[in-house]
Amino acid sequence: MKPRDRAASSGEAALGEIRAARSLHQASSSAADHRQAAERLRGAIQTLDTATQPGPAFEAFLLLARVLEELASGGETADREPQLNQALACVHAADHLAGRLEDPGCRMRQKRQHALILAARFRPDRDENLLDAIALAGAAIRRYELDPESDAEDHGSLLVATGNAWLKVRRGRTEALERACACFRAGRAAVDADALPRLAQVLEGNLAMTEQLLAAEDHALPDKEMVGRFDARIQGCVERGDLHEAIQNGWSFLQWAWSFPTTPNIHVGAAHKILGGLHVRNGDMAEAEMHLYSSLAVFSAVLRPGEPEFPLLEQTRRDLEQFFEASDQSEKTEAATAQASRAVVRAGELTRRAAARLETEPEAARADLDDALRLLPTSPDALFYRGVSGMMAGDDAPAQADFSAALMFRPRHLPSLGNRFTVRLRLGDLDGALADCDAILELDPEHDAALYHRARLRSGRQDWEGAVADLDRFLEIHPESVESLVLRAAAKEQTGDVAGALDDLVRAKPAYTEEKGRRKLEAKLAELRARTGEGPASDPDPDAPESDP
Amino acid sequence: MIQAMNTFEVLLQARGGFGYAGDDPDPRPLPPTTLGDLKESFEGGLQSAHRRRAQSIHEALYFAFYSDRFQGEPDRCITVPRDHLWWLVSAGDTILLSDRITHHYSFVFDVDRDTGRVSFLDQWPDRFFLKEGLNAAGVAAIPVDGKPPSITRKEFRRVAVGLITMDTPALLEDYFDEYPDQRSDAAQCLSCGLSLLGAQKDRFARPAALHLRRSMRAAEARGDPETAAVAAGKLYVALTVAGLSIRRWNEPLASRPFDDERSSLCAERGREELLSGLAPDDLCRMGNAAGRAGEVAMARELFDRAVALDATHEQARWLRAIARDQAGEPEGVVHDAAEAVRLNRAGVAALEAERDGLDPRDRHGRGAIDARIASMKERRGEEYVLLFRGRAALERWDEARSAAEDLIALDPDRSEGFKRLAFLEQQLGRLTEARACLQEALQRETHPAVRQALEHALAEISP
Repeated sequence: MKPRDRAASSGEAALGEIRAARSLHQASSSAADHRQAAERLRGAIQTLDTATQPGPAFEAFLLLARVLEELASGGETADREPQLNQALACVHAADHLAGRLEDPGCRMRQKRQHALILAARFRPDRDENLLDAIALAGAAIRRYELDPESDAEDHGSLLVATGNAWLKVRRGRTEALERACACFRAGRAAVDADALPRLAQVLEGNLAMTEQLLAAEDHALPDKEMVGRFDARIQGCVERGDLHEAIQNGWSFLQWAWSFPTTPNIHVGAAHKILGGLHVRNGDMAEAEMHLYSSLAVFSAVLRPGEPEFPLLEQTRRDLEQFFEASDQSEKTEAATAQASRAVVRAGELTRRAAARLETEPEAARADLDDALRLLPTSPDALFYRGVSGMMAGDDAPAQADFSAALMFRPRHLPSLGNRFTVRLRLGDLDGALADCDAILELDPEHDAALYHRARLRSGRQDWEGAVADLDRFLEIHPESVESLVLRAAAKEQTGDVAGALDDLVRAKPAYTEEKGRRKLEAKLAELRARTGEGPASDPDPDAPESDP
Repeated sequence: MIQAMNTFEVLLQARGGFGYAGDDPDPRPLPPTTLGDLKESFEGGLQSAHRRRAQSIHEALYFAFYSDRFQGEPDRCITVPRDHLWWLVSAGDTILLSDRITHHYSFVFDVDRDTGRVSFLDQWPDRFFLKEGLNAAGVAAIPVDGKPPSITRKEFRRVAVGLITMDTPALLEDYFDEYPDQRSDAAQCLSCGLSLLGAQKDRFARPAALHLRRSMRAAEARGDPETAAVAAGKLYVALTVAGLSIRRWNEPLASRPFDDERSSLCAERGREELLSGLAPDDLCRMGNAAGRAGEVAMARELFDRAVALDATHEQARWLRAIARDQAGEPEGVVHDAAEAVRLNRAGVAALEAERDGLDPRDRHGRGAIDARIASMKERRGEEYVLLFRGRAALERWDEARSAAEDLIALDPDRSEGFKRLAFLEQQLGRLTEARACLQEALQRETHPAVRQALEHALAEISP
């Protein structure tokens, strides 16, 4: 056989393989069939001379990129990145071949696939991929719009992916949401709902959601995106070998998960799972056990069979089992797994019962809370109420520890901050108490009690200007508060604002009806007047009858 | 197109702008700056922004375009018919304007293609030479719709020399879609390919190949063997770099289209012929890509060629030292690294002399040279490391110590030199000194994983 004939024959065989792979890909969505299609395509590429047969080579690379991208999207997380990287390499090869073919149609299809891979491969710590994806998708979309014969499903799915990519852009949030809306609208116009009902439904759903976000001026990123960002941040720390930072990021993830109106939720379980893994790496076995167990408990409570995330439950059960095995505690596995399956529900019941009888049956309530925390040591509600119980019994140090533990999960929980402030004050931990006041006022700048207490603490530290600032705000809310007026007068005097101090005391004076107090106040007023040069004359007494000049 | 409005310029305007150097009683002479020079300086800033993650579009690069009324710089700028500049210009671009007496760089504020006006955000708006009566081209820039002074499309055609725009390689595709006849302009396609290759990022080698191939074929069709040979040589570079760099994605078949086309090109023109037309920089670039892809023999061959072509090419010496280090040839490493250090020192001294010869008020010029010096010194640090490794492998301990000390003297705030000294002391059995060096290294090291390794090393030799 002559070389040219041999090339032609291998070309024919390759074309046959590409056709077979395409049929396999179109007919089935199973991973096994996709993998088989990928192997056939690789076989075809190996037999082709891409320099003389750029057309079939282009088709083979583009389809291989698509198959790999789909495998990555539906497969195990660990395989995802390598598969997407391979898909990216194939789409680059297809790009080169499209250039050789000088065919705009090939370029459009290549750009579409490239955009989809970049969007799927997006990780927030390399945001550029997303913008590259959007730019590429934009170029492909322009070509789809110009070509009325183009595949509506390909066009529509690209618009979904581009809209989703815009949803993930953090900067210029309103514009990003508007652009996402535009993509979903364009997709709705391009897709025939009768022919492609699922795609049309996705477009409708995404459009409605994005319009809602725009109307509500909700600039928060979608949950999935936030999870991705936490995940990437943690992964980055692990890759850098900075486990300490990774664990801190794990806690941020957990705190975010507890900030939802419905808790515990799947994110709480996921965060515990990640923290468990990180503590195993770090060799903190007790911490690791607590998080892995909590993860299993939360997943048991929130995941239902049939939900896409349900396999996480089994995975976590295996994680815990392996953990016990590796730490020579296999005997614990059965009891821990059984306990975890009902832990969230039971701990919730016990906490609610305890809260209801904290005042009437404090000892029984305390026992309930201890039981709840044995079942679920990471329950911020149980920790909070046990703190309250300790506070009521005068056990301030353990109460403080419980409030601190509860705040690890919900750092913005005002009742925990307020109660910890009180017990810290009782324990004489003035620095800690001040820090709690700061935290409360950061969350609620008009929190009157925190303003008043912080003013007192600041006065105690001779931070007179700080105290005056807090009391100024407090007195705007409660202008009649005599104690605050007197406190502010003292602080103002210390800052050298004698006239201001005098003014506050004059305002406070009518409330002093008790003789001894009134005398002391008058003495102070006289002293201040002498310092301001007003002389000993008394201030106008609002209760005294007016005299003639 | 990337709409990169120049925030710096806007702020500058809002705050009253720079003083006008021409008002000085003794104004300094302006250094001649071509579009190519300016583009390269912007490109340096862009690379640095990428490293700092301040620029989020990976594919972004600068292109410089000249109107074909002027003699351009075909190896780094793209010459286009003068009317095409109107299609290319966009907000945020830097533009070179001239009435053939005054030549002036300004910034494009906005392009309104509906009304056919382009407005400029000039550093000295009151003196903007395109205002009526201030230029010899009969142009009258006026403010319209509250925008800075603008001119019409016709006026733009008269005074635009060229522009620099930030975009992605897709800009060139869009340009050729708009003006398909230009695909057969071999010189223009060559400039497009060279602009992409010149951006020094491997990712642009792939789109560069498209334009270089077109250039080669167009030149062949037109009977211009000289341009065809240049384009073919550069296409060889682009295919080699693209084919090698794609391997990092771990799909071995993906390099096939590049490798097959390169083989076909070699069959057509002969590998030796292609390589003989290349400069040492091209050979180094391919060698570097080969080294990164693990093709040590190929890298070595290309560096050998580069050194043979120019024995005083510092980068070639440095890269060959790395290749020799990987191949376990310490004698060769020492030879090349020592020569690279010598050339680096001479290069830095020449740059320092050039900088000192500039007018002291030319802060931009001095700053640009200082940046080049800093980058060369950074490379010298790596050359010292190689020198140390080679000498240590040959157990020439005193000379190795001298390389480590030079490294410390070059950058005393980094851990690199102390790590080498610690290794050396340990090899010589001087554990107390080794510990002291590791402590010094630890004080300077900030990377958590390296710190961990240093702590581990320190614990191992602690009593």
